[in-house]
Amino acid sequence: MAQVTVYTTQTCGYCKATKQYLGEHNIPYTEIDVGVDRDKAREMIEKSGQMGVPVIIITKEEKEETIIGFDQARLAGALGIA
Amino acid sequence: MDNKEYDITIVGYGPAGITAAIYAARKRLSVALIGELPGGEVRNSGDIENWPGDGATDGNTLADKLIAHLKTHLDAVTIFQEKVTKVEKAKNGFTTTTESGKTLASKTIIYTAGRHPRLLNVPGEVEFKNRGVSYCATCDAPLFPDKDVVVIGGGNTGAEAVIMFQKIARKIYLLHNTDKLAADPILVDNFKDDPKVTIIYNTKTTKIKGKGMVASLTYENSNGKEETIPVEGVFVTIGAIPNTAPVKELIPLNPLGAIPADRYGITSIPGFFTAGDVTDIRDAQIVVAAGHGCSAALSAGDYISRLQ
Repeated sequence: MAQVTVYTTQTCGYCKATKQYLGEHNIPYTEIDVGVDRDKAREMIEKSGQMGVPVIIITKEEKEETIIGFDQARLAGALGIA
Repeated sequence: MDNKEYDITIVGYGPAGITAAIYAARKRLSVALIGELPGGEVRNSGDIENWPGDGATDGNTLADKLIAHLKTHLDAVTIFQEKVTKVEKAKNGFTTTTESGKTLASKTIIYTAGRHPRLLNVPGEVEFKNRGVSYCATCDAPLFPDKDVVVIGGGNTGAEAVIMFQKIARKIYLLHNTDKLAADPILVDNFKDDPKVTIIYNTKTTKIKGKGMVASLTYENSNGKEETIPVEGVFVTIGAIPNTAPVKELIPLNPLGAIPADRYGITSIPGFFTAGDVTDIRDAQIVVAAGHGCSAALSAGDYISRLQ
């Protein structure tokens, strides 16, 4: 099963939409609030090469896929949501 | 193709579309509501203090409340959280196509797709998008703790961005293109005497530079001379452009790219109604969009009753 990490800020609407979408499809995820955790903010910038939220990292069979922004088509593809 | 023919397809999941759906549901009309971001751009608007009845609220809270209200009408309203790519005239009504390839048939359309932020169109802007350049302070401001940032555009959105940064950033520049801020004075009062905030008037942004991430912004001052400020964040709030790509072959737009409509949401095309920020309405306000959405739904209901 894929492991899903969502980097967010509290005020970001697209983060909320992403979480709602994952919730509606019963996909468990770990949320990291980069507005609070500066080390994790640096980690997100290193992994994604950019500073926009949300960043969604999907780890499947030791392969990491990084999705920047609420990109529903890519999320659906990566997580096998019909 | 979904076999069902809806009475109304509402394009847009913001205050105009949600209000239209609620009014249509109460008229017992069948509704498909399609939009990408539940709640629409409201989600990105930060603090909201001019929505009657709520005093002070914020975009996410208001969007959640609108959606909760909408969801009391799921007997009449089917929601598709998707991007619409095209709206076309069909034999007896309209066909709406989504990014995933769904097509929906309906007697009428209420088009409430809102607006998206306008670009500066200067060198470095695209290169550094999300590498320091942002169009959503509400989303990204928390990533700039103790950093120097610039907000471009002194309207209400820009003023709200400055207010948000007062608690986060080290130094905030606010650049405006004329000699007077357009923002409401009640907003400007929050930062006009703050030593962290520098307001610079009569500026024209010329370039954004950096290495990997943004490092500086250059603007032309009122004497036509270039000045460069060292900043790690550039927040662009210079207005918005109507989201009309799916309907650009269907309906003529005004010179600003908005859909011409009257106060009842009626357009030049029978059966095609519109509301909110995508239209040529004067005031891009949440409460206005909601009201316009109501009128558009009542207009669509009236149109449908005449079809029978």
